[in-house]
Amino acid sequence: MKTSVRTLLALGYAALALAGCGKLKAINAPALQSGSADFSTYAALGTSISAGYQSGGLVVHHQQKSFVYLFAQQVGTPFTIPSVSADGLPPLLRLVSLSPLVINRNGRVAGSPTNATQPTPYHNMAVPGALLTDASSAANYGSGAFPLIARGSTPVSDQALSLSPTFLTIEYGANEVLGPATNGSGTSLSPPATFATDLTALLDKIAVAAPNAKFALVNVPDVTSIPFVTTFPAVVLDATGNPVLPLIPLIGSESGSPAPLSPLDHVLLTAAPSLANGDGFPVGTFSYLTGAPGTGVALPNSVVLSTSEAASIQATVNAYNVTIASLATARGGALLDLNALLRQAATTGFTYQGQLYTSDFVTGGLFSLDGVHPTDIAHGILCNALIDAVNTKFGAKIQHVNLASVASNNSSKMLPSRLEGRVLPQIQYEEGKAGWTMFPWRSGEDR
Amino acid sequence: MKPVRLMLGAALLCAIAAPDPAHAAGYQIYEQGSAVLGMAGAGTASVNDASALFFNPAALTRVDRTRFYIGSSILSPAVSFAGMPAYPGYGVTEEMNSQHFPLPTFYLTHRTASKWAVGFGVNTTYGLGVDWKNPDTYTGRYIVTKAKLTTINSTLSLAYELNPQWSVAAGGNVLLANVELHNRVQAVVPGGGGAVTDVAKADLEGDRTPGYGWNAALSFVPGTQWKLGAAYRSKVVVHEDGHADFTQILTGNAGFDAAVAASLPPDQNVSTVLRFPATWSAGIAFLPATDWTVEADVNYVEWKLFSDLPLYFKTTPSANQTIEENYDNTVQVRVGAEHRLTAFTYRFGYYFDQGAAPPESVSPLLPDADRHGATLGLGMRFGANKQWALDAYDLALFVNKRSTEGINRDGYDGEYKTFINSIGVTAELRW
Repeated sequence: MKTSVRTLLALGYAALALAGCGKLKAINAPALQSGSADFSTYAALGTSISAGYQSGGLVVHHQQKSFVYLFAQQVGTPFTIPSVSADGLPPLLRLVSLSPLVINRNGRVAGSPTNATQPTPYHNMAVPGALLTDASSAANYGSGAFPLIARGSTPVSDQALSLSPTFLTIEYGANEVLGPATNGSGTSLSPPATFATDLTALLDKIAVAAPNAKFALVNVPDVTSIPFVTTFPAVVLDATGNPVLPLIPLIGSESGSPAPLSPLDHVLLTAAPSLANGDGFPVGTFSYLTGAPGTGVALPNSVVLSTSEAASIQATVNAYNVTIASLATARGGALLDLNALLRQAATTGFTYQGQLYTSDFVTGGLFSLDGVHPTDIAHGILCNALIDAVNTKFGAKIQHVNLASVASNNSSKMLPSRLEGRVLPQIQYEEGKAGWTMFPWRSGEDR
Repeated sequence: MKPVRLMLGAALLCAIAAPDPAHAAGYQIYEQGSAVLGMAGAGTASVNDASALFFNPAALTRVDRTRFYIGSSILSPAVSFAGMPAYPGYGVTEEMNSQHFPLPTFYLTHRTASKWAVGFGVNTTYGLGVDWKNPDTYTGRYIVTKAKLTTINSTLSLAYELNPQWSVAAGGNVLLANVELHNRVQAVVPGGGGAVTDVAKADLEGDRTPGYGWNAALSFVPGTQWKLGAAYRSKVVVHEDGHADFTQILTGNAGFDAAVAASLPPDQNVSTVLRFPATWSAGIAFLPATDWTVEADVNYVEWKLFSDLPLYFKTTPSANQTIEENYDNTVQVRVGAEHRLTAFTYRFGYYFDQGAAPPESVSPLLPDADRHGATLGLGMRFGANKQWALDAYDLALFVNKRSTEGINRDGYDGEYKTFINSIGVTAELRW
């Protein structure tokens, strides 16, 4: 009897040991729940951001990474796009060299539309360069990306509504302020009151044509915090990339005649050729891009966004966003706070996979080579924020997109570096800023 | 011998069923004596061989004559991981390489004709081994690919019998510790879509450095049916120097590689602080009959000491890192029984060991969790005057499945599962 007790004990022990040694199985994502929303037909209206425009062009492998496309994948609904083959339309920029920083389109060939004969409107009717007024008016459809996407004179909102969408995302407003910002002007293309009227009208139109459709509104980012605006300092730098002290401002022409810029003014990426030539640098100083002697020639007004112009744009953005938030609330839509995401990118950044992603040009990981449009991983972050907003608003359970599978590294292959010349200080790696710590596990703390 | 065969068979089958076992959590090692481990480590009160030097040095006064004790445990952990959002996400599984850690134990004790007893021993009281499979593609390689903590602990303790009921002991120990950490440095590919790529291997290796501690214990035997014991092993803090090497991994992009080369820290000396917590033990043993002993122990481990693992770089202090851990103090409850038959003795037991790591510290370096251990043991005495004792045990340690709850400090979230088998044999000669 005692022996059998001992044997049972040993048998039980053996069974326990065997039960414990199996390895974990993969955890699968919980099933999608739509909540009070219906994602069976999803259409997107918006600008280049929704269109998936990156590095100065549209190309299919980035169109398929736009946050609206990723959202459609996460909710498992068909989503057609005006796809363009490589190397894109226009051909995408590529990073030729980091030191000196050379970005161009040399050697790229234009792609072509690969889905132009689709008989129905695309699910993604976002058009690069579109203003809110373009959603309901075909007046400007003869140029830009409109012929590729609108394919005629029917307004894009009408085309989207003809699909009988059950869910829409609406993302307008960026081009109203982006154009002025990138042209060095502080005057928006649409006063806030007009923007409010136009957006109300668009939502009214949707409410009539698709009364049961749910929607999400995307607010407007502060375009004065994008690398296009923030990369070049308005002061002379020394060879190590630090400002020369006392500060020596670059020369601009904001008031019509040559005058020193304020150190807080924004020198735009489009100033690069002038800066490389030594323009904008006082005589006796040197270009921080190429080391060329300063010519003393003023930078054109169009490549400088003054602090007052930037403040004007920010005021407009804030006014747009008040409208967007109040309409989202009033009409029962979700709100994707793109403005807050961009602010986070420009301040604390995002940490993912042990890396800090920031708004730094080229090296920050969030902005493509045009300095304006988000990269693949930034679209993933946008998509996840949209999912959070939709889940909260409609009680849905949509899983986040896996950023690691969204992020690509092949958008802009570098050619061998040409190491002559000076180094643009903003693209140098800095410790702690681009993951340059030995064990990037924790924020370091000296003791 | 049937139970022995079953026990060994289970261990063997487990090795076959889980061909890729690996290592585990919390780095204290309690496997310091086969007889006590057969009772799940419940021996603070009743230990009666030379392993008393570890479990309760005061009990050395009850370990007669001179004892030479040698043996080893082999710890075989199996660790697997299943990913959750945000990173590495659903559907990802990882596992550690097969590892087997031999943990030799040596004790020499002597009971004098007067009231004194002395013991000297060498054992491994702390250790850690992490070795994730496929280090070039392992999703957590930016945190750790491989890590190793090894210790050699030497103890000298003196025990004194106050009277037949009461004994006390005190002693000191020297802990030689060595740590190795390996990972990959990654960076966002410039101008790309946000993907990261490996740009360097980082290898940190310490020099074996000593730390010092002490111990004290109490043993009380009020009669033939009861034994009580208490022991304290102090903390040990080791200030360790070492070396860090950085080896660039070329990406094929000349411009990027040049930027990496320019910013990679140089190989250099590094130092760290290794912390080994204090442990309080208390046990009570009951002998319901002359051939049975039943014991229950409680251990209190001051894991709060393990607040962080700092890394100080001598040449580039800006690269200094502090790996936060913020462990909590823990309780272990151990219960075991021994039945002494004529031909052999068998033992069994169970213990619960509370996890010390908060969820944010549950990481590929230390996937800590609550544990449940089941043990079986066997012992035999033979030789002239039965001066030889041979003891064996097997421990099946089930570490609870542990989730990082989406808040891991390294942004690496998911669930860990660990199983550890420990098998040990010791021989003791007394004369």
